[in-house]
Amino acid sequence: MMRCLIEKELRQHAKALSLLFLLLLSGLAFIARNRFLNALSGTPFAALRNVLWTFLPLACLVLSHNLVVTEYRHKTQLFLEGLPLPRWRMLALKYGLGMALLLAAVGAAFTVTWKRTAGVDVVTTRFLLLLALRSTCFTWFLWSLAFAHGFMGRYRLLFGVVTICFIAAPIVIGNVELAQYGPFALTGDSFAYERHLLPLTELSVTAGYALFWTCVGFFLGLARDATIASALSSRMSPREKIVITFAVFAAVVSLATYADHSDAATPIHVPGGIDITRGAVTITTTAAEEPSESELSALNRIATRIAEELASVADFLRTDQMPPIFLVHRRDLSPGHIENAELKPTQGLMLRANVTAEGLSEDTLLRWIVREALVAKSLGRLKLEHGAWVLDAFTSWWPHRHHALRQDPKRLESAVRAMPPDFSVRDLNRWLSFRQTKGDELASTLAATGLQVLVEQKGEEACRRFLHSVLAVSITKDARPWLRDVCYPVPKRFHQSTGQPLDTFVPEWRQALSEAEAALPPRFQETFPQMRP
Amino acid sequence: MRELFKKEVRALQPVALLVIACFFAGLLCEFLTDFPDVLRKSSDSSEEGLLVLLVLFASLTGANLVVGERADGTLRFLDSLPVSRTRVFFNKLVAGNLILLLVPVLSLGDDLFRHLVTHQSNSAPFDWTEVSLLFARTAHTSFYFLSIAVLLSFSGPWFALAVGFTLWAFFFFCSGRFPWAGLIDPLEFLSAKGFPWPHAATQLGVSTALLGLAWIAFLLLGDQNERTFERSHQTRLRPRLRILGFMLIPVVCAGMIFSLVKTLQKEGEKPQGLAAAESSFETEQTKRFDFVFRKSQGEHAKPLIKTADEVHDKVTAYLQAAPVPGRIVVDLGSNVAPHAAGQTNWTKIRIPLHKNRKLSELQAVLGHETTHVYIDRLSAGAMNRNFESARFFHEGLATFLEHKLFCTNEEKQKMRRFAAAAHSRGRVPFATLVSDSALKNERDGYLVYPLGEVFCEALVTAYGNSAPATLLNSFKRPNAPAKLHGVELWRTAMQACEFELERVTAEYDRILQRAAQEEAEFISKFPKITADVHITNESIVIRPQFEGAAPGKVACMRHTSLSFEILEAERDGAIRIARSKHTSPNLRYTLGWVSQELPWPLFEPWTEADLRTLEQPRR
Repeated sequence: MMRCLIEKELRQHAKALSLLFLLLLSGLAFIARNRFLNALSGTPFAALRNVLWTFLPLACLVLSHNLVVTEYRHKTQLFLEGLPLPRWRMLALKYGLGMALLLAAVGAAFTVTWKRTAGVDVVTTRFLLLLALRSTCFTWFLWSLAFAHGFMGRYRLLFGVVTICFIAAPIVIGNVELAQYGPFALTGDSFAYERHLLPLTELSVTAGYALFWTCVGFFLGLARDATIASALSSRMSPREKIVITFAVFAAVVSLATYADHSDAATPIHVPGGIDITRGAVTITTTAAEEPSESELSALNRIATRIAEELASVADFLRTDQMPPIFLVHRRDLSPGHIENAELKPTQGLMLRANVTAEGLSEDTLLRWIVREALVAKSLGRLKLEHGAWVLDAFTSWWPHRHHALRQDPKRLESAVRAMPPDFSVRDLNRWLSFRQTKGDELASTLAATGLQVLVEQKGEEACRRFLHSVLAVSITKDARPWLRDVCYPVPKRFHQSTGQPLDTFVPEWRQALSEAEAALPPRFQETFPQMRP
Repeated sequence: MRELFKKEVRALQPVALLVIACFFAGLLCEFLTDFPDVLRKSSDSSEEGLLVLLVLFASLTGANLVVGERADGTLRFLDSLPVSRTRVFFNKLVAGNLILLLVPVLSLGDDLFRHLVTHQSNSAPFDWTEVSLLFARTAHTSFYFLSIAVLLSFSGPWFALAVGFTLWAFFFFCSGRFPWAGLIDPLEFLSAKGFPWPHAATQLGVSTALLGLAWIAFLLLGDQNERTFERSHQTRLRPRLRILGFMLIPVVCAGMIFSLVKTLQKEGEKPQGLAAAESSFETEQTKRFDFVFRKSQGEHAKPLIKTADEVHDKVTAYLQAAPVPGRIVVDLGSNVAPHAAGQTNWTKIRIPLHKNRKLSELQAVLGHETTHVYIDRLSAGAMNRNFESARFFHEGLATFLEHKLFCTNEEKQKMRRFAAAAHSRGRVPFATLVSDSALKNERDGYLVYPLGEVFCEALVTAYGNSAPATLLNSFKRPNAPAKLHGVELWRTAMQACEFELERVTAEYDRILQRAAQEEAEFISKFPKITADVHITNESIVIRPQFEGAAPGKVACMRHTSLSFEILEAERDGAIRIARSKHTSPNLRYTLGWVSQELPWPLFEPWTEADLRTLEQPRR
């Protein structure tokens, strides 16, 4: 009976099977004859690997379609079920036949590639056995997957995509590398070259998968008298087709987009670095070359100062989350040169500077760090236009926060020079252009006077509330911060924090600057005639 | 007619919904993973993605657009209507194109949306010209793809296979063998600046021809023709043809197997010992290596084979590595990539044994390649898997050991001079060095050898001779983060062995600066090269310009759509590229010096010329 069934299968699918065999050989010929691939790989066994990866899955799908799918779709399995043969034997026959055909095809490819190694490789018995074992195990895995896949009937495509997503998800989301994983590792880069080590783990994982999918296939084919497989094999309704195609596309697009945007980064640890912690701030210092005693003490002193300053910034902004700071002393850098090591924002801020250079301005360094630390805290969002003026204002105002507007005539002079006669909220909303026109320093000084005026008029608490609402909010890497900026823009935050709309505050700010200018000694007044009424 | 058109559009609604759904699914995912107001504009993103979408949607639209009428049995109904098949065909075509136009329309909408949300007061205004041109190119490409899909749809159940083969054919034609293939390459057309008319005209011509065929095929569809076809099946000829076909299949299979196997098979004795198929070749074993070489190479190979174990042991001693189980195979009879002295894949080394190669040189190459074997072995393949980020270290460490263990000071100095000269053309920061593609795009891929060597020297200077081995071993630590690349990969690996990347990169900069100072005189021998590019009827002419005497020949590296091509100057000093070989409207090139004093050409940073703006020079 079994022989008759085998003959029936061969007769029924002879054309398809012959074409399949031809396809596999053509694939092998195509790959093995490719000069570019040959030059890259250096051994014909690499062509076998490529065949296993490209044409074998195709062959498995075609075979499962012929042996399983068409049988159930055309309901011819009912005829087979009428034969005096247990159902499991019928399935086992199909499974065995498919496996045997695939192994024959892979065996042919294997023999051809082996014969082609003459003069370019040394083929030992152990090497051959290893290759055969790897190829067989991989073929078994693919065939059992395709066999189970065939029973999914109209959900084959969905099942295929779910399987791919299932395999891809831990790779995209988790800490898994595809090339080191079960069947992929078995036929990985070392496939054509590893002649000694038996990949026991990979073999057992692949065999485990193969066994699992075999069980799934048999379960679907046998459960409830094969009614599940029959039910699944019927054709899809147009609506079902659309829903499934949509689901498949959406899953693939989503996974691809997620993979494109996911940003792998590990926490930074500086071996041998010295940590200085003040409140929510931790600064790690290190030197690119073995530091001398004086360099070490200078580094420690500066780092302590930075840590204290940033801790007071964090305290002022009422935040307990500041990014970690890494200060690298580089003897070869020029005094004024501060280099950002461009870490990912989630990793913190790393800067390189020559901290023992004579011309280094610690105040400049401090201001630079305060600014960049806040930018890193906002994951780079504070560089966008909506909050840029607040950031500029804060970094310029912070070192002078204890001074009243009139106590610092030079800064007042700069601010007045930067302020146009028609200064308004529009200028704050177009801050990047404004800053480009006036220059960074003048624009920042002007913005800082805004905070000074705010403190003088509304008190320090109002100013803190406002700065907290812009500079200290926690940011997540998605669309929410953008939506918040759209729905709750800076002017709104200003209004809520200070009780006064920004557009009424700006004229007051202008007025305050004008008054402060009037109170200045004549020496300063002459420098900014444009402010005079 | 209008009703017919409406019916076609209605039938294609699912595809339209799918296009829109895909677009919004992508947008939603971006919203879940990133800030929309700092994202790059979609027009700046890769054209490959757009191309994949177009192929997919065009296949979906074209698969059933025309032949679906026969499959659904509605062809008779259409035939009964007072409209010709030609009209039906063109109605379908217009409807299909209209649906596919959704792709450029949504892409344009995406651009506009992104411009609105990312707009800052100092950012450039919305580039309507560029976006409109992209719209036109995308619309043109969608028409091109649809015409292909419509013709292929006549292959019926083999449609997917036909699409696959067509894609293969595209890759085959566009792989650089046929320079004119650029004209039919949709990627070259999509990624070009402006609207390249030659490409557009060629692709339009191809589309028209394909649609013409599809139109004829559509006219032939139907009962009468099928009945004629079936009658031909019922003749006595059919079973005979069938038998002939079946007989041909094993013949073709056997022929293919024979043709595949016969290559390299020559008569001769089979060597004893190894169960292998070597014939007319010889093999020789040492304690660490299995050598394969041609009989004619025997005498030349013997001295190398004799000293090979010594070379191996020096490398393993430095890397503190246990010898690989079994032996490393060294193939002395095969060729490798041009300009390479050897090539290694896992435990297989290829060193072409030319007669003019000295023993010391061969030993150095064997040492270099053996280092590659151990780099992969020590890192458990991680260096190979992260090739893009690790190539500089792979080649750098192999070059470092080659020079340290097997070369003279002069050879080492030659390499260091090259590094200094390359540094003088612009600093290569570590972030560029760790990205092979960035290095190739911004400078020159060969810089991985000299600059990688400098990096390894910096590593050894900072952390001692055992540092490379410690670093390599760290890659196979359990729970090592996967998916890292570039600077992140190296920073994390170094952290794991308590090394500081900052210290090593500072040392790397220092070595290069010092070398540039010490070799200032040598560097001054190689003046910087600029070029005057113009176009004649047949070719693009690059005329190098430099000050002082030429220290060697000038070479030019050209960026093609798939790779890089090195061209040499002709007698008059100019470099000429046949216009038929370069179909792209832009030319990206770099010029460099080829000299015996340099191990590789010393290239300048890349330059891009817009060929459309270049006119023929006046005589």
